Amino acid sequence: MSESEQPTPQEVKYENPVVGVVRSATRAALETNEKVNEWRDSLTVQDKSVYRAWIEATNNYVNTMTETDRNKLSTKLYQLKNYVGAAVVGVSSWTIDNTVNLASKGLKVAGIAAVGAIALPAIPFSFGLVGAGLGLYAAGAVGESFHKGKTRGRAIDRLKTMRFLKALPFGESIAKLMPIDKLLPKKAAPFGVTKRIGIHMAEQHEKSKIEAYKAKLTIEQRKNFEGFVKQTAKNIVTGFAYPEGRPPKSVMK
Amino acid sequence: MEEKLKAIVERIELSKLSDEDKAELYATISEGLQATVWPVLLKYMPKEELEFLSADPKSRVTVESYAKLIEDTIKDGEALKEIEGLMNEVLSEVDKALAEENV
Repeated sequence: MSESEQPTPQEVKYENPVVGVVRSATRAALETNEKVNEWRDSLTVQDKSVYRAWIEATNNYVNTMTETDRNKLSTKLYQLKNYVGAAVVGVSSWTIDNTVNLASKGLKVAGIAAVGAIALPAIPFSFGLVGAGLGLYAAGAVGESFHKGKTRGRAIDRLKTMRFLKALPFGESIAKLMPIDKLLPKKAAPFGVTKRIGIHMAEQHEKSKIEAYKAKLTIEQRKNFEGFVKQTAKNIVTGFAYPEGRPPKSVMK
Repeated sequence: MEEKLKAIVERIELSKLSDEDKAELYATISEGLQATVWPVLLKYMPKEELEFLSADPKSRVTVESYAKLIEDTIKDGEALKEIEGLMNEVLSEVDKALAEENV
């Protein structure tokens, strides 16, 4: 990873043109769809007032949902997935997954957000477990990084943590969610000349370690590239591919 | 749908785009796919059931009634087929856009 890739306070966020083109294409595909337009503009697909009452009802309900309720809903929807998967011919299992997961989110997401302790509000509960696993993995990485680096000063610890996280799949997004500063030593190290040289050496060392890690990762990925592609595609379908774990921003906007 | 999506992911993975851009592309595609679901679900929701629940939401909306509503909406497969069709349209547009950008 080159130094130019390190974020700085002055860094201007720009979007790769390819991302912009794909976003426009996605939007165009949705906008040309009559049903999506109907739903968005006038909600005439179902009666408007009924739909609003429904939304209000589900929002009220999620606030009173218990952990047992959420588990019960997960179980019921899991059973529904299996039932529909066996009964309906000609529909991909991923379509069924995506549909049922979103339906599940309709009732759960506000409840999860209300809990507040979970940092991935866009992910339905069933995937929240995966998110929690990944979160713990990231937290472990941060913790280890903190433990090993606590004598080196705050700056290098932070750098190391960020670099480690960035090397993980979606690690950069996880890094944005993690309270990294709270995990690091409270006192910033003085930036004397010796310290700066020490930091520089540590940075170089860390850089080679990260490069080695990334090279290894690439080799591992090449070994099972097909599996990697499948998993990524699955993450896209299940909504686990949101980089910031944020509630989905509509591509219609 | 699966094969189409995997082909897109493979193409993006093999491109020279940065990891951040790749993640952003995946998020965009994910958002596009998810945006196809609710309009179709609402279209196929049994109206009487929806009206019954929304008439007295506090007592009638439960895990059971919500799960039943979703089940009744998708169990004959029509909504799912329509959703799959829409998802395929989104993926076709993404595929076209990537080709135009030489990705």
